[in-house]
Amino acid sequence: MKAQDRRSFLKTAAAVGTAAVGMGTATAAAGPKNILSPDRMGVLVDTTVCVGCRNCEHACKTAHDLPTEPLSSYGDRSVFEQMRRPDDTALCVVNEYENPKNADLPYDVKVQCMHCDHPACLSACIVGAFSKEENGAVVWDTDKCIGCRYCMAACPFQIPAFEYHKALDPQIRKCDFCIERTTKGELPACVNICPVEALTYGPRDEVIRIAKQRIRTYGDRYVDHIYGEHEVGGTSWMYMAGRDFKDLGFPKLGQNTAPGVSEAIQHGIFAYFMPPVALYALLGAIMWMTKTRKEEGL
Amino acid sequence: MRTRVLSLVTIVALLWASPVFGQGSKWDKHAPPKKADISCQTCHAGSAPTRTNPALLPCPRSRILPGFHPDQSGPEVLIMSKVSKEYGPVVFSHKLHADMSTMSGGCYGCHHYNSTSMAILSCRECHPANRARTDISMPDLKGAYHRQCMDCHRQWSKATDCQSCHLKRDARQSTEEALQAARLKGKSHPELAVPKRVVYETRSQRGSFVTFFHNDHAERFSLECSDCHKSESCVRCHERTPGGKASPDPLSRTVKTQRTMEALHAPCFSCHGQDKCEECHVDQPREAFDHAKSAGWALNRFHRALSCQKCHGQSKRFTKVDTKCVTCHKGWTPGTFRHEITSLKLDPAHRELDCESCHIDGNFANPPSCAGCHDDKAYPAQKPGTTVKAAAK
Repeated sequence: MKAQDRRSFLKTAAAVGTAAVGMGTATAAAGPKNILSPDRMGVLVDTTVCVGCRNCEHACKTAHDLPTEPLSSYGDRSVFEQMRRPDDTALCVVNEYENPKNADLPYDVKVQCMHCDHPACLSACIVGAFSKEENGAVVWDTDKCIGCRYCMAACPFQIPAFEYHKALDPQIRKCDFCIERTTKGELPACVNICPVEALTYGPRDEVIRIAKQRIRTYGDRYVDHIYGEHEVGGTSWMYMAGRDFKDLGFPKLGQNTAPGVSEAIQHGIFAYFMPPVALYALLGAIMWMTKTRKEEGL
Repeated sequence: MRTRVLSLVTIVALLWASPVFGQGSKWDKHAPPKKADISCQTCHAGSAPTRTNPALLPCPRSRILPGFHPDQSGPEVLIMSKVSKEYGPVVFSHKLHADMSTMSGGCYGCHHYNSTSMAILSCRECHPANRARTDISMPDLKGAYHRQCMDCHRQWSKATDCQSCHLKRDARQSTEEALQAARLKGKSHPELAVPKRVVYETRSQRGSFVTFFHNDHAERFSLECSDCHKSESCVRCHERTPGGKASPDPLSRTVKTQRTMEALHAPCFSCHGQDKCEECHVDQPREAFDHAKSAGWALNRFHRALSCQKCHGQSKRFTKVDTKCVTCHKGWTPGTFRHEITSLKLDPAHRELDCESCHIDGNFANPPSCAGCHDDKAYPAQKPGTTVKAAAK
C-alpha cells in the first residue's frame, strides 16, 4: 500500500476537523447524558450467599449474544483455580476465595462493571459515547466510539474491554446492566437466573438499607462494610462480604469520585482559556523583544 | 336525663367496639410463643400490636419461634415443582432430611419462622414466588429454597450442579418423579453408629492426647445426641469427596483437631470448666474405664446397670464407697433378703442365720466361710442350699 502524501492527508484532516466542529456546535450544549437520578437502581451482591454456580455467567453471555458453552458445563469448578477478569468474551466472571471461617464454604465473588454514580469512563471519553442513564446504568454508543480506549485507562476497576482480536470494527465491551432487558421491565439476566438470589436488584437506597439490616442482624457473618456505597463516590453495584474486601480482589479506593480528580486538573488548567493566552503572550513578548534588539543593532 | 344516659352508654359501647379500644379483644391476642426466650418485641415493634397493624419487625430468623408438631407427622416425600422453569421438579425426601437435621438445629433449621397459629407454614407463605418485586427484604421463593439446601450440599458433595437435585425436563420426567418418590418413601437415615472412644490429637504443648469416652458420657449422663451436637455438618461423618461416602471406622478413631481453641473446649467446659488441663490432656491415649482395675472391685451384672451416682452420690469427683452390701442396701436382713437372686437358694436351716455367720465381717466381696459352724465343709465344694437360675431382683 502506497502511503498517502502529506498534502492530501492534511486536506482530509482539515475537512474532517471542520465537519467535527460543525457537528460539535450542534451537540455540545447537551454534552454526554449523565443523570444521577434519586430513583436509580442498584444490585446488592452478597458474596456470603453466592455458591459459585456461575449460572450468571451463562445468562450474561446468552443475553448479550456472546458464544457460550451449554449451561451444564458451568458446574466445572476447576475454573476457580485461577483468577479471571471480565473481558470482551465474558462481561462478568465469578472468582472464588478461601473462607477462613469454613473451608467447605468458600466465598464467590462476581465481577462486572460497577456502574459508578460518577463514571470515570464517561468523563474520559473524548467523543461523548458514554452515558449514565436514569436507572443507573453506564452504557455507551458503539456508533460514536472511535476505539481510543481512554475509558479502559480511566476505569478504577479496569472493566471496559476491547475486542483486540477483531481486525474490522473492534468494539469496547462491558456489562451494560442489561439495559435492553430493564427498559422492557425485565430483571438483569444475572439477577434473574441466580438460584440463591445472591444478587438483589432494587432501588439503590433500598438496597443499601437492606444491606445494613443484614449486617445488624447477622453481625458475625459480615464485615461491617458495604463496598460501593461510598467507593469512588458510590456505585450501583454493591457488595457484602464475610472477610476483608482487599482479600477478595477488590481495589482499595477512596470516597472521592474518580473523574473528580482528573477533571479538576484538566478544568483548572484550561479555565478562562489560560494556556493559549499565556502561550501567545509569551510568543508575543519574545517577538517584541527580538524586534527591539534588532532595531538597536541597526 | 334518661335519654342522655342511654346515649352515653351507646357511645361508650361503640368506642369499646372500635379498634382503639379493641386491642384487648379476642382476635388480637394470641397465645404467647412457647419458647421463653422470645418476647413480643422479638417480632413486634411497639408495645401494642394489633391485627390490622401488627408492626412486624424484619424476620429475626435466628431467634424465632418454631413450629410445633410431633416428628412423625411431617410429610415423608415432597415434590417441589412450583418455581422451576429451566429444570424439572425436585423430589425432596423430607423425612430423611428431618432425620439428618436432628444434630444440626432440628426442624427449626429450615422451619425458622412460624405464625402463632401453630400450623407449620410453607416457605411460600412468606417468600414471594416472583423475583421482580417491591419488597426485597427477604429472598424470593427460589432463593429461599436454594439457600436452605445448598449450604449443606456444597459442603458434602462439593458440587453446585443442578441435576443432583432437579429432575431433567423431558418425556420421562413424570415417570422418574414417581420412581424417586417411591424409592424415598419410608426411607430413614441409617441409625448412627455411636462412637465408643475418640482420641483427639491436639496441638497442646503439654499432654497432646485427649481421650474421650463417648459412650460413657452419653449413657451415664443419659444425654441425647442433640444435647452436645447442636450444629453438626454432614461432612463430620461423610467423606469430603463427591458422593459423600461414610468414613471407614467411625466407632473408634483418632482425629487431629482443627477448630479454634474456644470451639473445641466449649462442649467439655459446660461440665469440666473447673478441671485442670492435665485431667484430660495426657501424653498417651487412655484406656477405657474399668471399675475392677480402678476400684479393685468388679461390678456384678446388677451393679453394672446402675448409674455411677447411684452409689457414688451427686458430687462430680467420685469418692470410694466401701464394699459392704448394707452400706447401700440398708433394709437387708435375713428375713427380707431373697438369697436366690445370687443363684443360690438357701436351705431352711441356713435361711434363719445372720448374714455375718457365713459372710465374715459382713464383707460380701470375699467368698463365704463355713468354718464358723462346720469343720468338714467348705464353700464352694459344698453349698448351703441349691443352685438355681438367677432370679430377677
